[in-house]
Amino acid sequence: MAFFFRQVSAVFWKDFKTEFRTRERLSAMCFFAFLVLLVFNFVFTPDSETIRNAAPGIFWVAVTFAGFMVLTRSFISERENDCLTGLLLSPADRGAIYLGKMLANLCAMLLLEALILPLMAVFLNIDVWQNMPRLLPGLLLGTLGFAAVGTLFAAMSLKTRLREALLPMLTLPVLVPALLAAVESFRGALAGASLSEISGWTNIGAAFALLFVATCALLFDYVVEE
Amino acid sequence: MQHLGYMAAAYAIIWAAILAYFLGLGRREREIWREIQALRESIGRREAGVDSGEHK
Amino acid sequence: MGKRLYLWSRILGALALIGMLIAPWLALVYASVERQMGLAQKIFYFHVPSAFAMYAAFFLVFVFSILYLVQKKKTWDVWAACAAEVGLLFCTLVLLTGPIWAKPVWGAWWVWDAQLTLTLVLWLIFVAYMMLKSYSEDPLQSARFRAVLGIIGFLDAPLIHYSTRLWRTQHPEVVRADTIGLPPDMLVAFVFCCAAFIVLAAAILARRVSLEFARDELESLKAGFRVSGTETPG
Repeated sequence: MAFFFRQVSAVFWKDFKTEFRTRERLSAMCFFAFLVLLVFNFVFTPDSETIRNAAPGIFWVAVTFAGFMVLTRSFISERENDCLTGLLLSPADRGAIYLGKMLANLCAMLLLEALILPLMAVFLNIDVWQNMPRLLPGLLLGTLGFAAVGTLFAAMSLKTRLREALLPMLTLPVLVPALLAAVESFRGALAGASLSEISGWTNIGAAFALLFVATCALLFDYVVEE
Repeated sequence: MQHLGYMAAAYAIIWAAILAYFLGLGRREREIWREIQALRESIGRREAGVDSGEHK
Repeated sequence: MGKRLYLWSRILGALALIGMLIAPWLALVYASVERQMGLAQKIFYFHVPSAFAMYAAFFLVFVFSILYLVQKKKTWDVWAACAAEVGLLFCTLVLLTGPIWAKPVWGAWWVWDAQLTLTLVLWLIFVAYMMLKSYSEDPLQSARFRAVLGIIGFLDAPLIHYSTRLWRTQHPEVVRADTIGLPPDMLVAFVFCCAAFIVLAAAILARRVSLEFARDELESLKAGFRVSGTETPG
């Protein structure tokens, strides 16, 4: 078991380091998420009650679309120089490779969220800091669920003829409960509901994340198999 | 006879969809039969010694 | 296997034909007209059985997908893909008849009710399943990918249902027609329609699978013929 976790952390650090040495992925996706945020500001009337009600949805739309970029990049960079083949030829457990990559994607997305949350607080004029403790569980669970399903589907879609264009079409329908839970718990937290009041939503988020982290770790082997 | 139109529309759509699916299945089945027929013919020709690798 | 399946598809097909001839009679003539909803309620006898057939088909996709990943036998993949197609057919029927029933009864074509949302999301997942089939480069790989999506899609269904229910209870509750206890004549018609639709789905599935097997056999025959053709020139 300890060996399994060492493999997970090895894959995780490999991804994390390559990302931080180039930083190309992170900066591009942050800029993209920021643009999505701004576009929503233009299509709704800014400073209105409407946009404040829509804030949780806007945040998650921005995160989701930028998230697809994160996921795609994480496998495209593996494909260059056949890195993924090398990784698969190593004696590491396939489940460990999946978990390592998934955690790296999770970190990248959390970083992105940490960057655009303050931006959103400024542009949409909402109080994020005060509600942070009640916001965090829903945010973490939603991102984990997204990374769990997304990492598996990214590995799949890049091997089809449509490449990354297929990724959202595979992921979004499956992601419905996780997104719903994330947006609704976000909304509740902003409205000042206590943690136990939004526990219905965080429970769904937790169930989704747990179920699909386990399932996808088991199924990853069949996806990368040649 | 309230809502007769809605009921008729629903039933019509169900029958039409199932029928369309069956027609699609039938078409695919006929295609396979045609190919089997073509295969049979070329086998027959080859056994008769007429054909000389003209088949695809 | 192929011959027995073909026989089964014929038997089931005949049964389905008989069932689907009796079902409309039971639903439209035998069962009494519901007082509040009038004739619109008659849609129920075909709408709900379609939903049952859809769930049954998607459950089969789940089972065959697991079997395929464990045993790697092409047969299971064929069964899973065909069940997905049949499930999608009935899912489409549910989605088409739902609004037609909802309009006169609820006053709107579409209501974001838990069951409707679940059906719509399942439809999207299995459309993605079909896309995976047509956009794959290698058939073996496509079979594995589809099995993975079939398993995930089915596991997702309870979560979707639960989350959409929680989502909508914050809003006015929709009056659900099928929770009202059915009088005996309606119950008879309903149960018969359910049985007829399940048999119909089974018949379509058997026919579809036997067609796929026939195509496979034909492909291998053609391949064999090509090989023997190159070995015996002239």
